[in-house]
Amino acid sequence: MFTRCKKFQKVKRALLMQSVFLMVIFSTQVAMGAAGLKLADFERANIDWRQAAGESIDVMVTKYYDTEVLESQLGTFEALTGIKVVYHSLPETESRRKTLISLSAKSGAYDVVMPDIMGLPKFVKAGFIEPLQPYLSDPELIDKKWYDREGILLASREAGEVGEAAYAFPFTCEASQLMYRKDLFGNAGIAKAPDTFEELWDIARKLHNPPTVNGIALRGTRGEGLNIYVWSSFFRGFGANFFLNFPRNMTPTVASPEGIAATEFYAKILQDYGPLGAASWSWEEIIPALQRGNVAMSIDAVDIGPLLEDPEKSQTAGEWAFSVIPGGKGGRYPGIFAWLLGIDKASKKKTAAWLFVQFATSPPAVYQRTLKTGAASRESIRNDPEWQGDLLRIGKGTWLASVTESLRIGDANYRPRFEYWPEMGDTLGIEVEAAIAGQKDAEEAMEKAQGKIGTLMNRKGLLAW
Amino acid sequence: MLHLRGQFRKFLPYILCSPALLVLLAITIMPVGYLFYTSFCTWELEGFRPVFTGLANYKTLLFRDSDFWHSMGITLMYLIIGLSLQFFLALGMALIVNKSNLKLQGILRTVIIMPMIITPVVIGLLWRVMYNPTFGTINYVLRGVGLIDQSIPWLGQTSTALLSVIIVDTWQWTPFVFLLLTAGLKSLPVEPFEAAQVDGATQWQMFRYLTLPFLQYIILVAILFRGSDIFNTFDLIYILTKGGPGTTTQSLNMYGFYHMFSWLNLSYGASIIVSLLILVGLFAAFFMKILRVRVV
Repeated sequence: MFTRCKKFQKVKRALLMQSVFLMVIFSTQVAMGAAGLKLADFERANIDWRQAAGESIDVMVTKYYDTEVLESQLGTFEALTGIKVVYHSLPETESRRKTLISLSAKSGAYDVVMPDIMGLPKFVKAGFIEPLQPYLSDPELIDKKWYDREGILLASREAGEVGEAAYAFPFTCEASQLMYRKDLFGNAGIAKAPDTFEELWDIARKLHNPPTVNGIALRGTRGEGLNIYVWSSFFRGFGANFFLNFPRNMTPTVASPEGIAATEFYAKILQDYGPLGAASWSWEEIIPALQRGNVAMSIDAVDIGPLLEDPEKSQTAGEWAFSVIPGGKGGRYPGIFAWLLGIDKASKKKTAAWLFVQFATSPPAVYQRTLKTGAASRESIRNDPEWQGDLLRIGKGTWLASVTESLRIGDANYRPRFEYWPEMGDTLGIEVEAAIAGQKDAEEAMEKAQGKIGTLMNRKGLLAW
Repeated sequence: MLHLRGQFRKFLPYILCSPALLVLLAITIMPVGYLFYTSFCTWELEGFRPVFTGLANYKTLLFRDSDFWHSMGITLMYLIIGLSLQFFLALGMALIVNKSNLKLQGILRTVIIMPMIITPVVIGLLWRVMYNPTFGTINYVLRGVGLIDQSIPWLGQTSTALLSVIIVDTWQWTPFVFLLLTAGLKSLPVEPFEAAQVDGATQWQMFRYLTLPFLQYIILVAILFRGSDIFNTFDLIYILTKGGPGTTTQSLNMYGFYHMFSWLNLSYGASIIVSLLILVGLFAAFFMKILRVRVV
């Protein structure tokens, strides 16, 4: 009996030790994003961080890795400013819905909101978002040298602007890039990544070997943020424009010869060298297909890169290289997407909200937050060898280099950023998907899209027909 | 005094019901009323307030919006094919399970109702992977048994997309109809069947002239519930196809969702949803009327 008791005590002690150890590990993991975040880095800014001390603000964000890390940085913000943050982190659909309801009700339920690059103009037009110019020109509220807004890469900075006025700051910014299997390229005697659409076609043809490997996979599923995110790079690259002269003349021109040629190319390359049923493929299908080795090339968001090169998740880790997407006579247009932080116009604690937005998008916070994702939109950070660290492993440095280059040459307005883009983009998405599925030819699809967009512009009073 | 007490007694049921009625008013009737009001307005981004414009939205919807009629057609096709499949499958399964021994019945019932308890979003994601032509299990199995030579892009081509969505809906919701019909079969009186057996009736005759007439109310209730539900299917279509390829699987509910939530055409979206509501109302009223006639 005595021995059993002793054994029990030993087991109990071991379990207790283990629990303490696990708790320490867990807290360390949670605090990792905040680690290295020093108050002194923020106190260097020549502003009074405590001017709204004692207030409490509500922040609504979309839940993903970067916003989880931001949550771990809140302690630093609260210690710095004396402002309490109530953090609402929800999955994308839910956070979008709640943000819209709160903004439209003008209740000021959330002082800080997180629109995306294409959704911001809609909110601005409706008068939901606070313009940031007064804050940017008030030395009491910003230390311009410390914040270094000019140091934000152009595409990211423009993402938070509507009509050249700032309404939000970029939280994270991403581009699209070409990802390709360098082993398959080597076997086929292809020396370098394609620079032009014609080269892209040739390489896709050469590497297409179904059912083992498809030459290329691109987003087919309809949606302004799905197939249109990638298709627009082809559309602009072929030299097409969405309107006659955006934003002065909103006559749609998507059915121009260049627009039809781009759509035909996009649909045909997927029909001939893409996976079966490419019309229904989104990033959800593309990522596992790339990881399993079923696809030789893809053009998609840069955050896919680390997933392809992670040996625990990908059977093709170590085989990938990355480059800026190919272009055509219109130039190169990497897809640009950004999550932004802005202030609800109905907020009653705007100074506190401003301090939060400034903190979360400031150089020290961005530096720490993007150490693992590489999603920093500031050139000085991206060029810092210490920050680059482990990220250089992905695609043997090609990933990081092409992300930086894509963000540098990217144009936030490669898709027209205006309040009715979501409807226009979805309308295009439906027709592009129909073209990929072979339901319509490219000309018919683009003519239909043009007609619908024209009707939309007319209905919204943007076109005098 | 006696008169006052009488008055109080008269109003007592209303007083007791009023809290529940108030809650109902706040969470159901008022939002629906507001939806109706919104559908008669124009609600633009500028100012972001509804402005009454009468029947303008409905005129556009009915006479100028071909997508509305297309989505209406998809919804009705979904309803007819989906409901028929679910009903006949459930009836067959219920009859088989009812004939099996008691222990087996319990096991079969548990297995059959499993899909019903899983969230539609999870089911959508699961089937989306299974339908995938490159690494999905459906094509793998069909190729394995020699039914097809080449993988079929079930969700990616117009000829199979709607049917593929209906199959998933059928897989998930047939158990619901099955449960109702099983409960109905369990409550059937034994005597008429014994009498029919003594009279030498065949299995088919017993099914046609006894089982079906006895089950008619349950069948009507099942059709009413499932039908109304099919009209409102959203999550499954959204996850599987988002309404595509093109607009092949874009139901009225999806079309209304895009207008209301993606494009912020709140008033126009409201008119689509009100039209759907009227359609469901007509469908329900039709079956309720049959039910009432049969009961009377």
